[in-house]
Amino acid sequence: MSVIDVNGLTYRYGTTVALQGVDLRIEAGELHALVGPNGSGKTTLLQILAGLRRARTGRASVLGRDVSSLGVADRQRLTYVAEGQRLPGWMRLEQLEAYLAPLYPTWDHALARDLRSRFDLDPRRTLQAMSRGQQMKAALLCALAPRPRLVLMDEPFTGMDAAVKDDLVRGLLDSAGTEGWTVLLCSHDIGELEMFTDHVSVLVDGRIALSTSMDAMRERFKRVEVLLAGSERRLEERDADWISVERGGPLLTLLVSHHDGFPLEVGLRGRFPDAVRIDVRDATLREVFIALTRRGRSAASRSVEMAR
Amino acid sequence: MLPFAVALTPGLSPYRQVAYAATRAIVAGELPAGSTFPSVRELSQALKINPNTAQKVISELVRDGLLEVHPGIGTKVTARRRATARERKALLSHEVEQLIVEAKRLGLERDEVINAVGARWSELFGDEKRISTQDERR
Repeated sequence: MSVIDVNGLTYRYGTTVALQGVDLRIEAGELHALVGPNGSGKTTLLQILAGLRRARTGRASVLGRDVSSLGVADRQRLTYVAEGQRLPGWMRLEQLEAYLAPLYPTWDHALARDLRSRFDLDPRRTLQAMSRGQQMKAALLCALAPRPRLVLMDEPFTGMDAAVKDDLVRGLLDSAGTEGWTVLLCSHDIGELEMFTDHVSVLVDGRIALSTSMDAMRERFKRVEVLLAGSERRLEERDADWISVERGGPLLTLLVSHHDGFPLEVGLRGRFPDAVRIDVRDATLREVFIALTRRGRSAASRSVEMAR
Repeated sequence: MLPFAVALTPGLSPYRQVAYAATRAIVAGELPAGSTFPSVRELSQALKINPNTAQKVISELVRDGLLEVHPGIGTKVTARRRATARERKALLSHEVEQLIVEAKRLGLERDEVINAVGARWSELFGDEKRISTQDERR
């Protein structure tokens, strides 16, 4: 059974469509990154999964339960950290923990203590006296100490310096990653995500453009540089599996979605018999993300043109 | 602290990069036989990589005969075994050929390649058989 199962989910703010027909499946134990440009619907999707918003069209379930009927017992097994999560500033961290612990039967005091020392947080400090980074660590502590089966996090790294980010990632890997909890987090920090998440979904214009394991992504998406023999040569047709094409003089840079068994290099050699050289390497998450986002935009502008 | 150095760069599978760095450290003797190899958790924490990735690295090194798992004790570097005839043949024909073709394509001379291999060998494994490089002669 999938921990998150979303089918045909559509959500509108008035006449603005935030999500249109989202399908997403996340299995137990995945550290899953949700990436997408601003306004692509990431926060809306997380809020629906956390049971904070209700979609009228489509279905979403978490931990095997439809999000419209999440009960107390379900909510005790899932935690959510909002972007810029607000915490009650007048409370000391130990008071916040004492307030939250009885709400979760699985609250782990030893884990809370470990995270406090790992994050170098003073339990006697009030939350308003903490820096933004310390507050985010406190919020993560409160999201992990209940030993949830699912953690949802919206932009946990915003405004963090590199050292705090490191602490957060290590804390997340140590408690959630090695315990096999499921984590879904969205972030703009693509370079950071690339190393520690094992799955990624790319949301573009309210649709899932790609959902894959990181290993399968590296198998499939290749960045290709072709040094063409004569810079005057025209590029006639682009192939269907070229997601992005950039031309700078004689250098042609492609992002290719390659899925058949036929070696990509051989195919490219046939396509560019006169090329001086052809280099192929695995694409980075950043490159895949940018190419899918651009393609999404140009597809949208094409459909606008057709509508005119 | 890890007993070997890795600087992870995006765009290459972290699994490949870590497995390569560990293999390099083991064959170069930085991690001698019998020394303890980091656990899944230590690798994951030190490199900020997914524990699944760390697990894959260790499994691969175990499969390659570089590490062995002692339940209850940890993972240790194995005494170095000699490669099988097949493994040596594969390296000496296929990978050496790739190097030669690439070198030729870039217009390098035979001696330049041989000297570079020798210099790199000395750098990694000490002075087993020193061949001076062009740079040093200048």
